[in-house]
Amino acid sequence: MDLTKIKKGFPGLTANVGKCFYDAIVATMHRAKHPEFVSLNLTGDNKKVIPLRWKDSFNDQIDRTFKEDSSMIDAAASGVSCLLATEETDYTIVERGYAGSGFDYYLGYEDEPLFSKSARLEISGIKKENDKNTPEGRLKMKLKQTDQSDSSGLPAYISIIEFSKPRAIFQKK
Amino acid sequence: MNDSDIKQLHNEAMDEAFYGEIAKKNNDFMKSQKHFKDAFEKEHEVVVYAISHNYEEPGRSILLKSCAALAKAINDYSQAEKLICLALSGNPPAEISEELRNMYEDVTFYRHLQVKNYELQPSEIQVSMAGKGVSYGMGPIDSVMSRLKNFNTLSIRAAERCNGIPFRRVGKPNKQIINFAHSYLSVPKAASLSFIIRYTTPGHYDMGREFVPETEIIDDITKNLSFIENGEYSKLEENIPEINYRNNFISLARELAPDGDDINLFGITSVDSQGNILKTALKKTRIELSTDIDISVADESGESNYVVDEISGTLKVASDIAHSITIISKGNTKYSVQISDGLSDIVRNYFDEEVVAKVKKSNGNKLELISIDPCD
Repeated sequence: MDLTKIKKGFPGLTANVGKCFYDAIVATMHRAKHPEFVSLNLTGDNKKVIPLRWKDSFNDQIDRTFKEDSSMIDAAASGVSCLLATEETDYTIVERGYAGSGFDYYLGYEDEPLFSKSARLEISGIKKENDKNTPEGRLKMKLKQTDQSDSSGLPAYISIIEFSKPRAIFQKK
Repeated sequence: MNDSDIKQLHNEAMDEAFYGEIAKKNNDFMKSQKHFKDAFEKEHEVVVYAISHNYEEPGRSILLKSCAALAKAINDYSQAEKLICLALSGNPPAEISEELRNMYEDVTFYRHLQVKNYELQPSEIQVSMAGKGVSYGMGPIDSVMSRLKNFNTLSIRAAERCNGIPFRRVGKPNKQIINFAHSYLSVPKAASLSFIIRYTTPGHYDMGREFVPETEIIDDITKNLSFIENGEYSKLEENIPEINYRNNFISLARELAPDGDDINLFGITSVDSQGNILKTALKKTRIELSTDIDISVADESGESNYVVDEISGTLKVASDIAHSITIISKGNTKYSVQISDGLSDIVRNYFDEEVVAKVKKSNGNKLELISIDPCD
């Protein structure tokens, strides 16, 4: 999967934001000392190894922009998840809705009106997993939240990206 | 305008909101408000078009929800309220409905935090609760009383800490603190459900000059609760460097936090030394706070040399001397779990109850309590 593709954005995600996501990916991958070709172990609905490609364009400006880890990981996980979602589902685009302290992401189709036939994309990112903070733990939490809201009607996908030994869980809720 | 123009306009609105979020994270309030205002105006145009062109669900409610969130970002609560009601008047999917209702409670909660027909004094705090289980002036006894009791414990611990008293493992607070904690509770005030707590000492008792005034203790509580709501654990650590006090405060805040069911919002209103009214809301649920805390603890400790496990069962026996509790599982297995000083106040809330305990398993299979929750 070519991570530089996110720079072009999607019909529902402008190139400006795509570039910002990509800078966050570069900062995360650079700080994790990953090479420009690295494997992502995918589990969830599909199990496979996905080769990731990125260009290490890390510079002072990116360094200054992403001084704070949580914003960097949120944006990097959003970038990788958007690409992953369009590869792992038959949806073709990603759209955004403002949610108060961040964004909700939705998957959709290019020729349809805004958010029609949408599916929710729930994104979570982890810089470096440990016993107390794992992708499986985050998944459990997200599934638990679904139980609480007695969901129905709106399809949803969960995408959790771990960046230290890159792995992801992508599954339909 | 056509559908394509509307997509373009929505994208522009979301980009403005994105820049607004960045500015907000950089603490640039003026810049973030400018971006959010531009975003709201564009998204409002999108919403007007979507409604007049009969956009179907889920598009209709997603756009209205997004616009309402932007109205809230620029503090236009009245507009946000109208947009949420409009969204709910359609047929949104269950998840979106739930989020819209939560957002509605959120935007109206700030109104509940206003003190009505009463002049709040610097030595007083108004505690407010709202949620599905709360009606005008009434609320579920267990959820309300347990929060009031935990808030009182939190105030006592704050008074001890602010007065430089080492963390008390067992026994009662000293006489000065007992007199500080000689607080009075008003009758419930209809709004959502509010109570005024007045910290006052009995007339005959002199607290002494060295005792930190109650207004400072109230400020301290207000500040620390807002750190927790905003996930600012490093600031909380700066303000409460002593780990037992910090863990105690975090754990009690979890007990106050909304359960996401009966209680969706918990807030306090106080007056600072300049006479400004401060409204602090705890909106994150207990589960969300637990996730924040786990991540924060994990980030602090880096690589861990212990395993985290969960034990379910009845909290049966506790020993103040050994500083431990016993949890008896359904299969009748007894687990002896050590409790750190900071968690002793919380454990007492769950005697004889079914609980889920998160524990650290270190070398030698010693179990140490991280957090405790009631069983679902």
